[in-house]
Amino acid sequence: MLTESGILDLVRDNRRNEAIAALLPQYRRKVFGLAYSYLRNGEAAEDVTQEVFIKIWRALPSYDGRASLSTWIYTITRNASLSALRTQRSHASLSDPDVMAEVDSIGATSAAETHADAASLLKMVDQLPEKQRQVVMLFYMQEQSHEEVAAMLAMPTGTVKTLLHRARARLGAMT
Amino acid sequence: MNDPIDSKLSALFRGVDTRPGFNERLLDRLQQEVAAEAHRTEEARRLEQLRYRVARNEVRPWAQALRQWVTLETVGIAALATIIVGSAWSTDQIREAIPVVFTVLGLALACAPLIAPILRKPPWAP
Repeated sequence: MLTESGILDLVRDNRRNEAIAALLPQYRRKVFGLAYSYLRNGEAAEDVTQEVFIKIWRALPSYDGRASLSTWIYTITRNASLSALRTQRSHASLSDPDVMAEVDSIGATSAAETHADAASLLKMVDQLPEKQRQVVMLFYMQEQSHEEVAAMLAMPTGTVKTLLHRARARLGAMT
Repeated sequence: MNDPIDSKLSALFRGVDTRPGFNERLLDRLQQEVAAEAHRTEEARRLEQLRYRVARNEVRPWAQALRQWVTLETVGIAALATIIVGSAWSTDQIREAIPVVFTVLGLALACAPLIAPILRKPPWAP
């Protein structure tokens, strides 16, 4: 895995494609997860993820290193997601007919969970207030790191913990 | 952290990822971007060449006339004329002409920076 300075060296050597290839394994899932937490639609989130990496590819030569690379990438992702959200005709939500397909499309299930249980839990998460929903999704996607979620959503770690606590309580009451 | 809702949520979101083949699709799109960027660069270069040609055409009569005059023949004639003048005129006459020659030379040197960019071609010019 290349370090941030290694990636910047590639950019300086005009090897942007290699820089993107190095960034992909590190950030693909994070960018997709962040986009998905806004859009609640796997296909739309994947489109945004592609768009984000293209934007990164275009903007890498002008990246000045003032903010960390991850902060810069998350900012691009949030902006692209919000922009995609604005252009979506109706506000995305996991309605009953779509929820099963969504579970499959994002790979959200496990051997321990039945398909129906996963779908019903996803629907419950979908009913949470926006920020709580985002925190829950990202927290469990990103190996349960409060700091990582805080960086992704540009909010203090304490806020992430509070939102997560409230969301868990609400979900507990729903089940 | 060990309550059932935690493990259920963890199981639900742990595997969330893009569809298989995402990296390949992205790299394909990047190749298209590279080609598009190369096309844009080429287009900008072509436009710059066009601008150069237009600018060059505007100064061409003047520059062309100058280039027509500065040939091996004219330089030879000038050298010959200098020798003739040098041998025909007396030393006093030449001495009188020296300030004039230096003034002309000085004027030519002063004008050189103005003329040189017009005559100089960029490396990519045809």
